[in-house]
Amino acid sequence: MFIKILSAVIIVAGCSYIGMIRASRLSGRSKQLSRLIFALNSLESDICFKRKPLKEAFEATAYFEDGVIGALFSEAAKTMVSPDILGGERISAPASALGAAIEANRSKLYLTDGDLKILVSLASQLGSGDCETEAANIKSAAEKLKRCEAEATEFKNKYYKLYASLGLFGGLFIVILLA
Amino acid sequence: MEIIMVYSEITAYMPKSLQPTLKRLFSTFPGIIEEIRFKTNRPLCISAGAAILFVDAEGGITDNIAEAYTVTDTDMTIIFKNICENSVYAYLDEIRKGFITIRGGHRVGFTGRAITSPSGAIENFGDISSVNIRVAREIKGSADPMMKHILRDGKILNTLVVSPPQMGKTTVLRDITRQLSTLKYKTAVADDRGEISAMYRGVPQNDLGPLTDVMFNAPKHLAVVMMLRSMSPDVIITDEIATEEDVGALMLAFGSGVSIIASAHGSNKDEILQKPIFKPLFANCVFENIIMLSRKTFSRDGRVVDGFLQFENISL
Repeated sequence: MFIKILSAVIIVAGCSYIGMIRASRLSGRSKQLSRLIFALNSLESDICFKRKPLKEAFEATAYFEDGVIGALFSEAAKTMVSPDILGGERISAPASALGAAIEANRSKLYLTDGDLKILVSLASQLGSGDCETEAANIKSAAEKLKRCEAEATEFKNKYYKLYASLGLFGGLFIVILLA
Repeated sequence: MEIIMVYSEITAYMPKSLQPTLKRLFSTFPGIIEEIRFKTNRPLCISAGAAILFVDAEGGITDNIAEAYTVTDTDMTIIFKNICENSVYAYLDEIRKGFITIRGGHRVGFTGRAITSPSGAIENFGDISSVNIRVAREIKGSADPMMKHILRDGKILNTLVVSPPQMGKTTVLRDITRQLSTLKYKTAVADDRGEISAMYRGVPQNDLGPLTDVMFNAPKHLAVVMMLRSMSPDVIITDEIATEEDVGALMLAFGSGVSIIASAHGSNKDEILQKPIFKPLFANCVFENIIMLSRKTFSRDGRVVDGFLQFENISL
């Protein structure tokens, strides 16, 4: 009897945990998008006003950003000057470097493939033009990400409680079925 | 005299495919390569003294153009992007002047399709067709025999260094700067083209001594005035006086009691003394010395194989 109760508690707790994880990804995506937009504003400032080369601009952005978004820019800054990237045949070093940084931090990123595509597309355009062009590209990417953030927030508001509850009720359902 | 030429920084900017070639080239011919010249779809070549030589894919030297490594347009794109650190916007001022100074003080000049504004000013370059890397070369001690004419009883005499192009004026000015700074004179350098200091990220890549302040990339006449006000120098050093504004700035420095060491193009003393633009300087006895530089060369089979600097000091 005790074992049955313990198993039921474990099943319900486990399913609730899975539900909470799934729900937190929704919340995590909108938070990371918000941090990313903030990071892009900081990047624009470093590029357009301080005229920092991209590696330094990425490092400065990473310095002021905690968590995975900061790690993304920090990793990209280091990778951008690696001999493979600098000497390689791929023409856009920022895109290569950011792509590598995204792969290295995949497990901690809640961003969707669509979100990441906007970021990598921006990186492929960075560094080729004057300050006005860089600012325009960054603003355009930030606008797209803001739309993604709005969509992510709406989705989170709709489905956060649902996913959390589904976990709990799913666990209860399994317990009832097994009983 | 100590001649310093360091090539290792250059290979870091090269495409991966070219790096072994250049490493072998630099290790086989240390200290004599002065320029490395890249041209799209044309042979890679170097200049060493008066000689132009082609480079093959193994990093060897050849006179046969057919054996030379052909630079591709991908090579050129990668070189240009690396030189700009993938950040064209950060180097636009330098790009508009046609050269960028990289780590180590090497000057990378380039040409190609200029993109101009409606007013005719060069805005940017598209389709880089040629890149020329001038290897930085410091000759410490090149000014040793001249210092006794420049420094007398602790006083720096106002000196004009004169020669035709490519005789070593900048090299000598650099060494004068280093020596005066090492002797604890507060030295200010107005370096509009970065040739004396070879500034990279705010750090002179050439040894200018411990007490030297440099203003880089600013017009000479503005740099001299600003440094007079902000750096309280003992001596101001600047290269290639050529305009009325430059002369005006030197007159201001003279009036402020700061010593001046400058350089100018010229073949002989009379030519310099009679140049209209310099008349205010000589009429007011600004300069106490003119140092004329020349180079004695040795030829073999019609080719210059060696040379050394000579100078003549003229007290005014």
